Amino acid sequence: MTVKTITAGSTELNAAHKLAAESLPSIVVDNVSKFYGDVLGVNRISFSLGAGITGLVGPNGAGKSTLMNLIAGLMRPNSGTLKVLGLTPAQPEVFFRQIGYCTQYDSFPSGVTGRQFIQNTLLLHGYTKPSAARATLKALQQVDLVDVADRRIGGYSKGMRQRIKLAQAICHEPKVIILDEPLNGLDPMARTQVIALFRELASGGASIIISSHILHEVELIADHLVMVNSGYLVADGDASGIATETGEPMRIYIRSHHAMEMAPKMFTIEDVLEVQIHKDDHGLFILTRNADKFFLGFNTLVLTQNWQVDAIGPADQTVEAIYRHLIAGEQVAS
Amino acid sequence: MAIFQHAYQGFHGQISSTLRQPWVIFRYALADVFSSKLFTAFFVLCFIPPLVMMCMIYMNYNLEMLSLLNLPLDKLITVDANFFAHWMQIPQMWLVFTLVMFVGPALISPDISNNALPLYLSRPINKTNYVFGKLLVLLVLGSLITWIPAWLLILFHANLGDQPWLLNNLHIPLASVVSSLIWIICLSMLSLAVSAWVKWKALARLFFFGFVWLSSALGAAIENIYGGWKGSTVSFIDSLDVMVSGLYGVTSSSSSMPSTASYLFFITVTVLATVLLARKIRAFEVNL
Amino acid sequence: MNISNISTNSNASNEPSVKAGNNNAALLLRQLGAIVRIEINNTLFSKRSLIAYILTLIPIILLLSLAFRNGDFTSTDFSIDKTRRIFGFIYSGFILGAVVFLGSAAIFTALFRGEILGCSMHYYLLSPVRRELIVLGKFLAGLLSAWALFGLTTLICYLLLYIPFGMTQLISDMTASIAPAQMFTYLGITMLGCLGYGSLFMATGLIFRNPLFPVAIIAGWEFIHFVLPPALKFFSVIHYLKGLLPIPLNNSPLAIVVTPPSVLVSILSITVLALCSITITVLYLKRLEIRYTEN
Repeated sequence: MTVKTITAGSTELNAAHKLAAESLPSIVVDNVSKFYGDVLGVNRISFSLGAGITGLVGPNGAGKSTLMNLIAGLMRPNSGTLKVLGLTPAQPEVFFRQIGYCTQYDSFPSGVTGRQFIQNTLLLHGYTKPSAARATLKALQQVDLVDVADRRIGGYSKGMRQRIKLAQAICHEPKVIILDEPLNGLDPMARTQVIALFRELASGGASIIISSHILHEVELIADHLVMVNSGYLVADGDASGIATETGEPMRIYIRSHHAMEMAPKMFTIEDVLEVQIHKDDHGLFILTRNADKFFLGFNTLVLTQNWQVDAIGPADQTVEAIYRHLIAGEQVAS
Repeated sequence: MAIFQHAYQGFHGQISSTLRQPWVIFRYALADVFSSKLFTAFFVLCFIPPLVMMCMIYMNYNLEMLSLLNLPLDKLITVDANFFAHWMQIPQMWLVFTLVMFVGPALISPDISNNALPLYLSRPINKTNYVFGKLLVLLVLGSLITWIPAWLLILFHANLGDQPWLLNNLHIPLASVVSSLIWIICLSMLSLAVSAWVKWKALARLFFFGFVWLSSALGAAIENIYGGWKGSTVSFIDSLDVMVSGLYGVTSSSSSMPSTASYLFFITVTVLATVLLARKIRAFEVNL
Repeated sequence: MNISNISTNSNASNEPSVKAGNNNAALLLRQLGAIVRIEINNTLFSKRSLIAYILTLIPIILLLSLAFRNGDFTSTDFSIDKTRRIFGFIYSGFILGAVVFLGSAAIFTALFRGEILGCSMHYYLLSPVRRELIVLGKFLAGLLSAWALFGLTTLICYLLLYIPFGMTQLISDMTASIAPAQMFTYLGITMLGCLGYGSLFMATGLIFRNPLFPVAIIAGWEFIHFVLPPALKFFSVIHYLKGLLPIPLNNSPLAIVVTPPSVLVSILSITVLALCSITITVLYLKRLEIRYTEN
């Protein structure tokens, strides 16, 4: 398949882009290993990611930043291959145009203002001065830093520094955005704004990788999860899929006026272990061993019984449960 | 009741005296210095020249060995003030320079670049004690390779030679201590000032080296313009030679500058460095 | 499969069009211009430029003091020839040996090491610029800054020589082309010095984590160049530079005297050194991985 012939025309292009993004992985990591001398960074990691938001989860020292640096081309793997949109860092003039990377380093070129920092990045990309100025303003607006754009970054707060790094990563409208702990230091309001920005970028067709320690935020943001531990890939997929594979029972909450009627019928669905009725009689807590099978069975029941369902979703923190099962458990065992 | 009232308890034990505070800084800084294998090797090598000197002194008084080795007795070295000044003191002083260049710039700059100064100064350690603790590292290491081995050599020679030698040459051990301390303190304060002002230790070392190099080149340039010893007043190389020669009571081989001018040079550098250091060592930094 | 050419309407207006293997010259020039501008700002207009300015001022103050020494301008031993000779010594020993050498060390070492120590090197490496272009841009910026600072110092210092002798002497020497010849020769030597030392220090600044050692070794080597055997003198920058001096200076009694290289050989040798150093820097930068923790 080739998508070279796709031409502009926003609806067509977006559809084609979406199609391309869905069918083609943006990032392909194939059997990648990285060692720092005798110390293992990451070992034999393989996965591929498409458009949307991917959460990269793992404890400190698991190899998340190494993996991000490898994908972004700041490091070279000892073995294996990495491709981003089919490109490698050997072609920097094309490769880095497609990538935006907000690193973990809280450092900036000395003495620059926020505006100069973004503008210099765009000038390095080869933008002309007027277009760099326009794109700088847009990036600053996206992270809500226009008011302080002409102050030196040295005087910024931690949250402002984090946001200016984010602006620098997205200012050239990259198709792949890698964000290492992007929510660190942000206040709750800024977090909400930034998460909304991530969603907006992802809905525009960008592939976003976010590493974070805050699991419930990953759960909120990410469509896809990559879990690493001690340099190894532990899990790769969507949260419910991973949860099912782990065999860890999942608790699902259903909100409906038919809750009392539904309760006994839930046991007709395979792998349902427990059903609890909410104290107001309008909700159910279902404990199942296989979420996918449950949803399939439940959909059939809803259609045949003509129930009205107000809401349905995981009742507990899925990512946290997976993390507990795959990583914390392993650490305790080791 | 708020939780901190259950759990928090202030320290009720005895607090160590202010005089002992620099030793904490000193201990940690010294351990850090010796974590470098390269430095440890260099430090060990610094003791080789005094050992060679000791052998020379020993052979000087061991006629049997000299005859065994077929060495001419008429070409024996004369162990006097000139020997200690130019063969022992000045070469060891340049080893101190290398030592300070290696250690000094790394003492304060990492604390500043890692924002550790507020942590130090928020504890019961004031900035004088902080600087003194750091200075102590250079003072101890510098002393170990200058006046302490010089004193051992002097005692060794006094023991082997004629008994009234030491009494007649009491100015030699005194000159050794005074010249060593002046040189060590001046270079140490300069390196600490550079370390405080240049954020990165790698570049701070470069600046320290450049400063000493520049002063000597500037001295030579002034000498070209004015002639005489005016150029020596800004040169580390000439000032060191003049100071050591003056204290040992021997003739300087590099400059006719009076000893007082050399003391003035070292005092000026030390005072300026201290002022610069005092301005930079503070618990907070607003970087706008 | 290739989806690199997909572009959305939103960014088509801003994004420079680049296709792999088809770099257009205008884009490269814009990127080079951006690197040079950023680096000149860092080198000439930031805190770290203070040391370069101090170095620039010292010889000017020194020459001013020569110009006004004792007011004894009418004395017979104070002639323009003697003053030019004194300037020759000051230029060779201080301006070239200390100011240009240390100034180049300060400016060019910081080009890469400063970025690595300040943990901001990754911003360059994440930009869609070939690493060759990063090296070239940084080097050009360093060179232009060094030329501006130390070239200007050389010219000002030379002109300060004429203060005691007045405008008449200056105009007479200018028209007799003695002064322009000497002045531009000194300027040329300064520029060559910046080129040679600068390229060397840029490479050592990138390669060595502690740039003091290479700088100290190069300083020592240049300091003892006069006692080096002829075969080794050819590996010393100062050997080529001193050979170009318009007024030959007395050699030290310990010196091993060799015929100074011709102007062409000197220029070529230093250019070759610069090209080699730049090539090494490019090769090293291509292999560079970002691991600031090593600092």
